Amino acid sequence: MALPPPGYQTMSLHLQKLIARLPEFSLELDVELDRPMTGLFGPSGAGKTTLLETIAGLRSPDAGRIVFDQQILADIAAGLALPPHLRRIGYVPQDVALFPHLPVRQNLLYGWHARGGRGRPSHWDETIEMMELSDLVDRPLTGLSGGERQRVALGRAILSSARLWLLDEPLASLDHPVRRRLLGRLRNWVDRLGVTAIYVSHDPGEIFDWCDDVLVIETGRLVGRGIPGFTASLLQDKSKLHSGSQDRR
Amino acid sequence: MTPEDWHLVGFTLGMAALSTAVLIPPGLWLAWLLARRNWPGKTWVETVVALPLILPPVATGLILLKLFSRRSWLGAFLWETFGLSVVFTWRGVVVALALMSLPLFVRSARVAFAGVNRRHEQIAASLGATPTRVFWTVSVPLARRGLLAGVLLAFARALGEFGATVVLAGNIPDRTQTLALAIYQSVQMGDDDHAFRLLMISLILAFVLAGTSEWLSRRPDTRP
Repeated sequence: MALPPPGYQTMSLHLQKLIARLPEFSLELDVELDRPMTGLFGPSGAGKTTLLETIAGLRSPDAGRIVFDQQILADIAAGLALPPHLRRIGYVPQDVALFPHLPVRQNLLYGWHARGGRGRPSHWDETIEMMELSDLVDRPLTGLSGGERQRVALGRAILSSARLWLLDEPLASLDHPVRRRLLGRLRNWVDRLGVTAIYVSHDPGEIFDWCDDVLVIETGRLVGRGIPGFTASLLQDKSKLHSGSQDRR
Repeated sequence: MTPEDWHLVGFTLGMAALSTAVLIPPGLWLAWLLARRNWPGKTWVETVVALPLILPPVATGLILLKLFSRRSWLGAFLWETFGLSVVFTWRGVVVALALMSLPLFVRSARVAFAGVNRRHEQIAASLGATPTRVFWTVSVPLARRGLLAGVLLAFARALGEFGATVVLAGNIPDRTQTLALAIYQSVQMGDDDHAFRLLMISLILAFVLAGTSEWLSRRPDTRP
């Protein structure tokens, strides 16, 4: 696991008594994330995407507060909700959602230009190399594979000068070796750029290898949390995990 | 075709183009609001926008005449502040054509905006784009085909407008007379040759525009 450089100041994300009601269940969390890269793990439909969209401001919570780096992103009791474009977030959704009318280069630069950047960001070349996008940059979006689209979406978020990356299974369509290679580089970028990241994956191995903290959620509730090694043992004991979640209902 | 006919065609095309250009900014805004937002009074606004489609054009023209005559508040304001007169001028032609074409454009644009995947707008906002930037860089480009079809429909409608124009701007040769008004005048005066010549021109223009609009709305989008 990569460690933050000396003197590194992590920005904390505080989800205070956050409630987001869904048709089947309510997402209810009260946690503070203060490590550079937090893994979010849980079965399909557990509320992981809902959580990321709530943090990004694409979905309004029903109660609670979201505070990032001492800035209130949302405070339902006070009637505050920072618009999505002011949250400085780089969101990579599961469905990728590249802009279909723009070629790859314009997709990659969209967030950078939207946040007032001109030309290309200083870390353009490194990002292109890191995400292995050199062959794709000058292509139209037509004909890109699922994995290539995911790499473009990830590059778009990295280049958007965001402070908080919300990565919803950003590498799921890639082969396992490529995924691990890119994930290692991604982790190094998190440390070098000093951003905070939440990484969603269905692969516990990825999360335990590269994340500093792990949240396990099930039907909207936190059922496990801790340093990767501890949580791994928790996850290995499926019966323990499930009984834990039932106790909380 | 006489030089007068060419002038008439040029004037009609120019007025239709100008009125379309005038209606596009408010029409885009209105269509987007109707497609993407809910607000109190939305149904009322929808009804008002649709009125020119339902009302007899002459009635719409009469409303405009009352609104822009110098005895009205708006007409007096425009005349006293800017020295602008609308009634029986080319400005009246533009106003009448724009208002009569607006519902067609708004309807087309509204459907086009409603067809844009909200996901792309959301992701653009999450990447730092202001609502205005999202509108111009995501919503409008993704709705472009429907918008273009709406522009063509509005332009075509403006080319054939008669009732509202004749009431607000009159039928003054070389000043406010459009193709439709000239056809009417020729028929009234028994000049059938001239009327049929102008009719053929109108038919060709309308056919080209309606066909292009239809082709645009049906053509598969080659972009992903």
